[in-house]
Order: sequence, then structure tokens, then C-alpha cells
Amino acid sequence: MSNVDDVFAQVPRRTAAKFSRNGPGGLEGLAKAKAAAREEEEDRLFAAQKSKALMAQKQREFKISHGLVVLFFLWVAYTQAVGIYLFTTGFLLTRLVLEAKSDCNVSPLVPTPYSGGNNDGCWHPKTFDKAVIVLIDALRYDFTVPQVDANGEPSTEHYHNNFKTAYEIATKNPENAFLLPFIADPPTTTLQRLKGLTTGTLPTFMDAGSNFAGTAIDEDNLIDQLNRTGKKIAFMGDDTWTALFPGYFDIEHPYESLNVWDLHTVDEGVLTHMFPLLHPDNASSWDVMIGHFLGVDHAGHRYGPDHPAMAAKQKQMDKFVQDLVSAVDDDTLVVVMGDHGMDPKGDHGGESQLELEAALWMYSKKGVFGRLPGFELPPKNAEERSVGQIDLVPTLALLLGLPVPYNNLGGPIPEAFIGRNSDQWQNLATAARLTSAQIERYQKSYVMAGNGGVDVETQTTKMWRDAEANVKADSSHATQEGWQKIYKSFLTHQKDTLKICKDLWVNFDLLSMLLGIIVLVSSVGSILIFARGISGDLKDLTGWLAGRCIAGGAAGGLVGYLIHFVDTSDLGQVKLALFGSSAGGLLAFFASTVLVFRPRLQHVFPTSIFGVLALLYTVLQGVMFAANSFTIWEDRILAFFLTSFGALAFCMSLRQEDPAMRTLGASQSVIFMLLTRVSSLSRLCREEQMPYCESTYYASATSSVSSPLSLCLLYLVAAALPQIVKSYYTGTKSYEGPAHVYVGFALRIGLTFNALYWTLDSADNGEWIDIPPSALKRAKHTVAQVTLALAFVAGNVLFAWVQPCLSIKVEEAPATDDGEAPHGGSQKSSTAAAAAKPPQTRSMILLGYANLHGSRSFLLPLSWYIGLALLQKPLGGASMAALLWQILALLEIIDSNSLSDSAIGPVILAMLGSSHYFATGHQATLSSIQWETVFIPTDTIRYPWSVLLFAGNQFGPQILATVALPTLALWKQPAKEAGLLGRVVRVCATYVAYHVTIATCTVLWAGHLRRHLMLYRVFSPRFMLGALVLLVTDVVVVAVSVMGVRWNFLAVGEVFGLV
Amino acid sequence: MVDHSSVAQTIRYSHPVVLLAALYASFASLVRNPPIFLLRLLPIVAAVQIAHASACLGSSNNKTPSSGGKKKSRPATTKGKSEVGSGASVLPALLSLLLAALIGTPVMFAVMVLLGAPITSHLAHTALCAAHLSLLAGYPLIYSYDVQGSKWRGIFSLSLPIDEVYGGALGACLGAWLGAVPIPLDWDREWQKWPVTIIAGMYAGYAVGRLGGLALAGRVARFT
Repeated sequence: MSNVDDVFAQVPRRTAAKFSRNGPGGLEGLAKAKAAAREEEEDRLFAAQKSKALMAQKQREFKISHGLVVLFFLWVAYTQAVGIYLFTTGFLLTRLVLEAKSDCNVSPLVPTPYSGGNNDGCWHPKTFDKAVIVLIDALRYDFTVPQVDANGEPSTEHYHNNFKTAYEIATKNPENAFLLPFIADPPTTTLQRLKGLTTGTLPTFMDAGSNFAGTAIDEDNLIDQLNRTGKKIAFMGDDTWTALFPGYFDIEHPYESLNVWDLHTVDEGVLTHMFPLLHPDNASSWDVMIGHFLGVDHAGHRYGPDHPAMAAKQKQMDKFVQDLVSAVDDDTLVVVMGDHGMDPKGDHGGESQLELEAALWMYSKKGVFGRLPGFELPPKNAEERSVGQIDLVPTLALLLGLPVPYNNLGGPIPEAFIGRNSDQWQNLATAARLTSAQIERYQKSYVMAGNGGVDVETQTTKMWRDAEANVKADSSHATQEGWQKIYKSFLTHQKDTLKICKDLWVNFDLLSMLLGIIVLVSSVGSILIFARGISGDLKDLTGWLAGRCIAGGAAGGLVGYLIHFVDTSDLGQVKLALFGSSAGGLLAFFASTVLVFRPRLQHVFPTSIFGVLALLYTVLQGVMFAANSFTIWEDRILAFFLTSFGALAFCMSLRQEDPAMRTLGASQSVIFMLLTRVSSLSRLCREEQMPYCESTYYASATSSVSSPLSLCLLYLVAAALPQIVKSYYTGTKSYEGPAHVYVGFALRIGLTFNALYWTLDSADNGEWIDIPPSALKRAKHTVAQVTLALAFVAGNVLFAWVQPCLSIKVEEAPATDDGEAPHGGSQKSSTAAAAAKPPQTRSMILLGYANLHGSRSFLLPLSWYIGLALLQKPLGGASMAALLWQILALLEIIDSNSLSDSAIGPVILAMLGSSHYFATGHQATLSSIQWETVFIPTDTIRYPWSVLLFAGNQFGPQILATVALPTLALWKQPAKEAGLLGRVVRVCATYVAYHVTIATCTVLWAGHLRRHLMLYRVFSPRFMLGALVLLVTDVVVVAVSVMGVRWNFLAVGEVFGLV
Repeated sequence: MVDHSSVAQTIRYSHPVVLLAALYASFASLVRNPPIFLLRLLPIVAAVQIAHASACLGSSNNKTPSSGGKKKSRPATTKGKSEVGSGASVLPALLSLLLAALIGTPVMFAVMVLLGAPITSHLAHTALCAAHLSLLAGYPLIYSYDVQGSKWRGIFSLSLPIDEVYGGALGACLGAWLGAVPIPLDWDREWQKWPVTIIAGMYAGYAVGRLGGLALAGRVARFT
């Protein structure tokens, strides 16, 4: 042992200086140790035994204090998870999706007043055999009715008075057509609207029960009912339909819908395919035809409504309606409608009146339509009269002789049932009664399925009974007035049920949200005080705090649970107990820090420029999520911040007196800036960034395959990255021992396999080579599985066992060079030359001591990188390589500027993770989720692996940054410095503090702006991203970062002894 | 380093105001067509900068700097002439201008691109913006410190004592950085286009830095 200690005494540069302060080194120490070494020669055996016992003792102590650190971070994670959970349950309203389907033979009315077959209509006699349903995206109601300006002259706006045919026919031949405002339920996005228009129910932000792949509708809906009754469906237009209804259409011509710059492709496609089918010769090939035009919507997005392109589009649509009217036969129902409107700028998604007001026009040559008294002309606007979009569902179902879809909440549109003379109140009342019966059946099942409250059931059931009583009393001798009254009572039932459901599904639970916010904000305060507000070594204090907090949490949880017995609010025992436990823990934390650690408390506000920058970046990001435009451009802003940090690091590195450190810091800062800029070129633009953004992540804007060029990048990465990583190891002579295995072997193999996988994948997609697809598929799955096993299984297991990256070299040295030389060397030499036993002839050189902890702990992010890079598309893999390199550059910047205690390291690391989230083709939107990556190593969805793969793709950059976190505190730190574990704790706590601040800010803004136009498009997705990133970070910090540190310290301690 | 004659004082205080006023007066044409306008403004700003440098910083080589610690050495070529006064210091002024154009502009351009300026488009915009920054921030520094390595290390490491020249340079850089803030906002204003806000921030920051530099002369940013 003593010889090794001698070695430490001669470690050059700062390491030596620090060492002599803390360790048993120093010159006197050296002399004494040498003397002691000679004395100990005789009883070496005894000494060895003694040191062994001491070592075991120290290991025990370390394991205990490390375990307590883990416990503390578990408590932090628990508190934050509870905060997120409480807020989410109040904010993200979920609706239970019932999978029950309406059956043609099972009428909701018992006894059933009508029994028809499939041929005459299921629950109600059908009116039409065929239908042409045309959706003109974003057809706002005022586009369809004549508009006058302030002087009474016809409006000359580009978006008015172009689409005239519908209004003219509805006015001239009311029995053939009617035109009504058609109110959408927010969110007014096409996908949610199509769900509403086919299922008849209200979309919530997340429908519980929707399947893993997200899009396909599994609720009962019109399309499904058409299929079940054997109707043939032809579809053409927006490909959202084929995503929602895969395999339902007999004829389909889907077109890419997201390219809002293309005004014509979809529309031309619909026109090309629709009219040939309308020809009598093709009449038998379809029963229902669906066409979805996008031109009007895209013109709105691209130019806004007031533009000649909008006028041209509307005129084209008008011409289309004329052609359609002359092409259809007598038995065909024509529906032309918008799915939502558009705001004054031509966008949609929110809940402003202009976005909600679409138009509905129904036409048939049969002449079966009537009018409600007082509404003979199409209404001027929605205030006069309107119908809901969900009303279309029972209307179409009953007109076409289908059962009303099970989950429907809409009511029949009166104009379609009241007859051409507007006197068929019995027909209308019967249709309304059937619909109400189905709604009532649905409500019962919904309550039985375990959601909703008892009061819902009683309220609507009472109205239903009242309405039924009216029928029983009057039906035998009903007059027009009697049927009218019956209709009204069912209408009331429908409207009230809808209102109750809206309250249930659309209103926010403010109390839960508030409790969540309280927990989260206090959690930010606690972790901030812990990370930045307490001086000294955090290690011993952590364990003590963990005990207090957990005890406080348990007590609080009990109190919360007990309160529910006397509590009158409807929070429920689970929420109260959860809130109680987190509040109790937080109270215990604040009380302990204030009462017990008062002398150690320091100001949270930083004094150094980098400390200020860290705080500034965190606060600025938190604040910017209040503005939708800053949130939309988050990717650019992050890159801007990161390069600015690089620039400042460059400037500050120039202050270093030591030229080697100066060069190192400055050059790494430049590398950091360059990599940030280059990786920011990889991006996938979100819709709102148009037209100022060009996606580069995929081969083209209209595909989701990668370009061959990005494959070449992957091969480049495989060739270059191991060399780059190696260069960071050789600087401290640490490229020894396990580094050979990880960098020289695993990284090379893993990256080559990664490139190989994506080549095979591209070959599979592009059919480049002539191999059976199944063989190709098997080959690429095998490659992926091997790579993942290498990264996550072998890499992690090995990490627990490997030695530090060290090597001892024995050199023949001239007698004059006597081990003193390294002291004189001003260079940043990291070779620890030792006074060898026979100093005249040989010297022992310890390689890799200068970065003892850091070089070993970085092996963990290396192996994780291999796996996480595979889960990204090729360009994402390259971006992850840039991230790894940036982390290394950051480590050097932090070390050369002596910033390992500063908050800037963890904050920049976290921002790097977030920045590469965007560089790997993600955005804070639901549509950018890369679901297909769960199929990288396998063909089927297997829980929980698929979820883990999904998380690895979605949050890969953040995970990699988190795994590299402890290295930030360990890189090039003297191995035997006391309090190293405490530093790791501080770094981890700072990192968590950053993430919880960001997540809490997104929570606060989403809660505050819950009525904002952009809630569903911007704030809500950003909140979900922030919350998920926080949870994932918490888990990875505890399970990987902090746990990994344990093996690192033990392995180093085995060689050098624990401090 | 500072010339305290009344003419110099007048120029010293009026110069940032003149620059700001010029920019303000022609802001509309800047918004209308940034590259053309920036190109036209370039010689004017160069002239103003040369005038300011010659009048206020011209004698810097021979006097002991008020803020202390500055070396007096200047290249031999310019030494004799600077003594003659502002009128004769044309050669160093032009040489500095050349250096600012040839070295300062590409460096600024690179930094702007690194910070997120578009790479595939708007190259003329960015280059002219860089030229303006180089003129505002770089030119007076080059004129005052020509190519002394230690001084430039001090300049880049933010550890030089503040004076009007250095204050102005820092202010211009910080102003240009802050100028990026309004770009992403969805206000749909014409002036949000690249690089109008940068230019505006740069000039405003330069004026503030110049005057602030006069007020805080001699201080050193410590950043513990």
C-alpha cells in the first residue's frame, strides 16, 4: 500500500496540489511514508490484514451512505411524480372508451316499435341507399352564405361570395337541400373532428383505452357500422381517414395531408377519382363515397383567408358542388360539410367562434327535406340557429338505415326527418326517441364501466322516463302538437345529457390541479435549497434528510387518508393520501433544513458569472413557455442558448493562466459551439413553424424515410466516433484496461451494427436488394437485438465488474531521472511517474490516475449511447453522436475552468439533452412521436419492452445526458478527494432541479392558459413533454446515474481505498 | 489614451447619438430592404467611426492611458504620424479599417452563423450585419490596440478594463445578442425579419455601451 501512496505524492499539476491538501501525500507525508514503508517490511502480512479489515469497514460505510442517497432521490422522485399526477388528473381529462357496438338487430327500444331487416333499415326505415359524403376541410359557415359589407353591398373579401351553389339550391328548392351552421367541439383539429364526426362523441385530449399505436378508432362509429351492414365504402382524400379506419375502405385513394404548402394535390386526387365512380356504370362498386378536400384549409394555413388563392379554391369547390349535383342519381344522399372553421389568420385548433363554425349542406334529388317553423332560409349565422357536428352521426345512421353508433351523444337533425311539407313530427319524434334510447343505454354502460358519477345516471334517467311517459300517454292518438311535444322532451334529454358529459369531460378539476401545483412548486423550492443552498459536503446530510422526509411523508400520507373521512370535497382517499404524503415530506424537509442546518444555509442566488448564466437560462426557459411563439421555436432558442454558453466558455477559458488549460478550454468551447450548430441543422419542423422552417430529418417533407446520405453519416460516425472518444481518454493516459473493451471494441461493433441495421432497414423499405423480405426482416431484427443486448445487458453488467481505466507501466529509466521530474513539468501531463523500488534502474508509471473516476464512470454513458443511438433514425443516430461528443467537450470545459461545483454543468447538460430531443426529429407535438421505432428489434408489440423502446426513442437524448450526469462531478477529479460522493449528489440534485423547474413552469402555464386558443396545440403538449421528461429523468437519475456511481466508487476503492 | 480637447469631447458624446439617430431616421428603409440599406449605410458608418477614432482616440499611442496598464507600443509605421494629430492619422485609421473588414467581418459572420443565423439563405444579410458589428465593435478596438496579442486576449476574455471603446464593443455584441429575442414572436411585424432586430440591438447596445463605458471607465469585470 505504501508504495502506491508514494505514487500519489508525485501526481503532477492541480491534482497534486489538491492531494497534498487532503490526502496523506505532500512532501513530509512522502518522507514519512517512505520511512514507514521500510519499517513495515517485516510485518507486511499483519499490515495487509489490518488494511483489509479497514477496507471492509469503509466499504460498508460507503454502501450505507450511498443507499441513503438513493433513498433521498427516490423521495424526490416520488414527490414530483405525485405533483405531476395530481395536476394531470385535473388537467388532462380522460374519457373511458367503451368498445361495445350497436347491433342492427338489437334496438335500444324495448319493446321495439319497428322491426325491419337489413334491407329496409335497422332501427328505423331508411331513406337513402347511397350517400356521397364530402368534407371540405375548414369550410367556414360564412364562406357559404351571401355576405354583405357595411354598406350593404356584397362583400368583396376574397373568402366571401364564392361558394354559392349550396345556398342557392337550399333557398330555391328547400325540399332538396338545407344549409346550416355546423358547430365543432374543440379541439378543432382534423383528426379529433373526424373522430367526432364518425363516433358522435366528444373528443377529450386523451381518450383512455385508445390503443398503443394511437390513431385507429376502436369505438363504435359510422364507418364500422357501414362495414357491418355490408355497405361498400369508397374513400379519397386526406390520409387521416385511412389512419383512423385502416382496412375499412373497399376503394381508397389517400393523399398526404400534412404538407400545407400543397394546395392542389389532394383536391385533384379527389376530383380525379370521384367522378368516374359516380358514373352509372360504376354504381355497384360502392354504396357510400367519402371525399375529403384539403385545399381550402391549406390555402388558409398558407395565405390566410383573404387571398386570391382562397377565392380560387372556393370557386373550384363551388364548381365541384355543381358537378356533383348533376352527377348523382335520385337515391343518393349528398352531404357537403366542413370539419371546422378557421381563425382570421386561417389557422385552427382552438375554440374561437370562427374556428368552431363550419357549414353543413345536405342535398338529395328525392326532395325529402323540410324546415323547422321559422327557419325557412339558411340562417345568417350560428347565433340564429345551428346544429352540432355530432348530430350528423345519428342523422346519417338513421337516413341510411344503420344503427346509431353506441357512444353517440348527438341528436337527429330535424330538417332531415320532418318531411318535405315540414309536418312529419311523428317521424322526427321517433328518430329522436331512438337516438335518446341509445344515449341512455350508453350512459348506463358508461356508469357501469366504472367512470362518472351516480348523479349523472339519475339526472338523465329521470328525463328519459319523463319523455317515455309522454310517448306512452300520447302515442295512440297523437296529433302534430303531441308529437312535437314528444320530440321536444327527447331533445331536452339529448341536450342535457350532452351538457353533463361536457362537464364531465371538458371541465377542469381545479382543486386537483391546484394541489399538484402546490406540490410541484414546493418540490422546486426544496430541491433548489438542497442543491444550491446548503454548503459543505452533502453526503452525510442526505441520509439524515432522507429519513426525515420519508417519515414526514408517511405521517402526512396517514393524515391525508384520515382527512378523507371528514372531507366533503370529492377528491377521494387516494388523492388525499398522496397529497398528504408529499406535503408531509416537503414540510419535514423545510423544517429540517431551516431548524437544523441553519448554519450551513447559504444564498441560493449565484455570484459567479456561470452560476448566474445557469439561473438565467433556467428562468428564461421557464418564462418563455408562457408564450406560444417561444414554445414553438424552442429548438432554435435552445441551440442559441447553448452556443452562447460555448462563446462565454471560450471567453472565460482565455482567462486561464496555464496555457495548456487555456488551449484545452478554448478549443473545446469551439468544438462545443460547432457541434451545437451542426446538430441544430437536423430538425423536423412542426406545423406552426411553417413557412420559416425546412425539415431535414427525413428524405423529403412528404416522407418519413431517411435519406441515403444520413446512412453514410452513420458509417462516418462508426468510423470516427471511437477515435474521438479515445482522444479524450488518451489525454489523461486513461485509455487503459476496460476503456479498450468499451471504446475500442464495443463502441466500434455497436456503431457498425447500428449503421448496418439502418442500411438493412432502408434496403427493406426501398427494395434495394433482391432478398426475400422475411429474410431481410429477420436479419435486421437480429442485428438490432444483438446491438441492444450489447448496449444494455453486457454494457451494464460489465460496468459493475470492471476495474478502473488504469495501467502500470514499468520502465527502465536512467539513474538521473529520479521520479522528481513530473513535479517540474508544467505541462498537463497526467502520467503519474513513481519512484520505483530500485530508483536507479526502473520506474513505475501509473497510467490514467489523473482521471481515475471520470474515465471509468463515462463507460456507462458510452454503452448506453450504443443502444439509444440504434433507437433513433439514422440522422438521429448522428445527432446522438454529436451529443456524446458535446458531453465530452462539456466535461473538459467544466474541468479546465474549474466549474465542477457550479450549477452550469448540470444545466447545460440538461439543455443539451433537450436540444438533441429536437435534433432527433422530435417536437413537442403528438404528431411527431415516432411510433414505428418500437418495431426496431421485433415485429410485435410486447409489454413492457415496447414501452421501454418507445421511451428510448422519444427521450433518448435526455436519457443519455442523465446517464452521463455523475461524470460531470467526477471528470478529472482527484481520486482520493473527500466529499466526492457529496459532489455527485449536488450535481444530480442540480440537474433534477433544472428539470423540475422546467416541468413546473410548463404545468403553471398550461394551467393558467387552459382557455387559451393554443392550449391543445402548444401548451398542453409542452406540459406533457415536460412532465414526462421529468419523470423519465427522475427514474434514470435514481436507477442509473446514482446507482452507477456505487460501482464506480467501489471499483476505485478496491484499488486505492475509499475515502 | 483619451483626447480631452473640447472638439474631441463633443464628438465623443455626440457620436453614438448621431449613429442612433441615423439608424432611427432610416429605419423604414432598413426594414424594406435590409441588404441594400446596410450596404449604403456601411460607408457612412465607416466615415463616422473613422472620424470618431481619429478625433477621440487618435493620440492614444503616446499618452499614458488613463485607465492604466496599457502598453504604448505601436507598430513603427504608424508611430510618427499619430503625433501629428487627428488629421494625419489617416493611415492607421485606414489600416484598422482594412483589418476590421478582412478579419473582423469573417469572425463576426462565423459567430453569427454559429449562434443560429441562416446558412443556406440570407448570406448577404448576415455578412452585412457582421460588417456593421465589425465596424462598431471591432474597428475602434483594432485602432486602439492594433495587434497586441495580450490585449486581444484581454479583450476576448472580458478582462480588459472598461473604457469607451471596450464598453462600446461589449455593448454592441450584447445588444446584437439581445436583438435576437423578438424574432420568434408571432407578431407578424415587418421589422421582425432578419437581421433588422440584430442591427437595432447592436446600435442601441453600442450607444449604451459607449456612454456606459465612459461612466464606468477603468473597472474590470471580475466574475468571481
